[in-house]
Amino acid sequence: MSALASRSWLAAAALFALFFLLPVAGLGLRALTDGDVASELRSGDSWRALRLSLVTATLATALAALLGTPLAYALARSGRAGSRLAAALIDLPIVLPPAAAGIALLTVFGRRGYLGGPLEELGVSLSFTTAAVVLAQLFVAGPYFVRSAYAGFRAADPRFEGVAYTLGLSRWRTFRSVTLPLVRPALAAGAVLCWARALGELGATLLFAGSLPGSTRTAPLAVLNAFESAAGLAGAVSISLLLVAVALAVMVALSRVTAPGGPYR
Amino acid sequence: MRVPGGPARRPWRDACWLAALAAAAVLAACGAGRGGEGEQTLRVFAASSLDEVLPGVVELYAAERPGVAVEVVFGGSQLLATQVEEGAPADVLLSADRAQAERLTASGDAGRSLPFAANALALVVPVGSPAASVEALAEPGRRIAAGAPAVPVGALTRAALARLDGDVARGIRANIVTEDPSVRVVLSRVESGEADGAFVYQTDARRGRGPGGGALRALPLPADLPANEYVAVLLAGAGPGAEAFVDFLDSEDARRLLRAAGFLAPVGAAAR
Repeated sequence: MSALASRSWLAAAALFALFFLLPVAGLGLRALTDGDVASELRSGDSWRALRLSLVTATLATALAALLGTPLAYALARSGRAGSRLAAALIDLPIVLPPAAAGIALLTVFGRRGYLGGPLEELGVSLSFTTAAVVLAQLFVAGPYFVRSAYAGFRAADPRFEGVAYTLGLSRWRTFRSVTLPLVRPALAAGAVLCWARALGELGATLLFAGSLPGSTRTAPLAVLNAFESAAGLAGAVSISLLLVAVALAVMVALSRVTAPGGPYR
Repeated sequence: MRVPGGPARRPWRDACWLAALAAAAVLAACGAGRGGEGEQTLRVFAASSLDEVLPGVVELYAAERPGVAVEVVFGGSQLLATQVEEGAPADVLLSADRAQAERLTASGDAGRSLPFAANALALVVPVGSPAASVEALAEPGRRIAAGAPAVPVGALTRAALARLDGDVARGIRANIVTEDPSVRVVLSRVESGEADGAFVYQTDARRGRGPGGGALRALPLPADLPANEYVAVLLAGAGPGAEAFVDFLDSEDARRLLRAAGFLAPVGAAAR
């Protein structure tokens, strides 16, 4: 590559990096210079929304890990049909707009949905509850976990498991002490991705769970609400800032497992 | 990709071509934002509760003026006003309340404003629903959708609740399961059957459909409720046709369409 080429390469890279960094820096700058943002940050609303987001995203991630690990394992070990199904699942969050995901959830779990209807008869209703927030996040973000876990299980050589069986280990014992250690980094990376996506979930949550302070208004919904309220941009900035700070802190703390070229690659 | 000018593949040339292409695409996209040459495009930001009546009004307006194109963007009044403050290229804002007009005037983003319609609050339920009165909707376990207090319909809802009988108002408040960002979303909660009742506008009560496809019914609310005024706001830097469009909203033709959709005359219109 010529000197000119490498220089223009660098310029393009720097421009693109700036494109991502500047808006985040803008949030911080606005918070420092705009007095309203500081007072919004001191009011409880932003924190309440953030706490709800952290709790629901963590619950959704725990469910994704609990249910997604066996699914990813089964898919990875089930040959052709499994890999087709896996491909479909893995692409789902990319092709499905979150608002469409919300409608889809309503058709099944809504009050008049195929499952929600019978549940309603039993006195259980999901929509407009915190459980609905978790379900919406699980639906939208769960595939990110499955995607990572599937790749991990595919990369883990099944011959290790074969050796463990010949040594007399049970299937469960083999999975726990041979397979799981091999894929743990992939599972962790998937969980972090899933958590981050769940934390940012807006569209499906609004349509399926509604938006009520304290029970269903997560931080992204609070940003939307603040943007429309008298607090306007100041309120929206303050919640956005909290969200970015928390997400960044967690990502940095976990960067050892999630960085490209990290230990599992 | 075929690289013109030589058989040898030079990655940086590819990159330059790509960059040029991207720049051209961005420029073209910016150009597309404004109407074609010689045609005057008027951009109107409108409250989402106008989304059914306004296309007809715009059509009538444009039919009388060849060469004028009107582009309408619907959204929550607050959201649209914030976008205007942040520099969104709009000529006219049709807000569902006075507050936005006052806010934009104070910030220097607006010129003249003109009330052109009004809309009353309605608590709607599907026809045939077991919860067929305001009192029934206040019973524990019912689910009611409302707008967020920041949205005009939500502010009007709070004003109505303040005038209802204490116990009923308390019951209704406790049954509100969502505070939505726009009246369209609030209406959709009853249309999908997720909520038993919803606080929307009279115009929504007319056009909305219950989950089974049946009509909606507006339950009687206190008669002395203030109505929501719709205000047309001429925005700073508006194009030449904007003034005429605002005036047209006050014409008999526009009034007739608005009335037919269930809108009321603006407060003080009788005096004019």
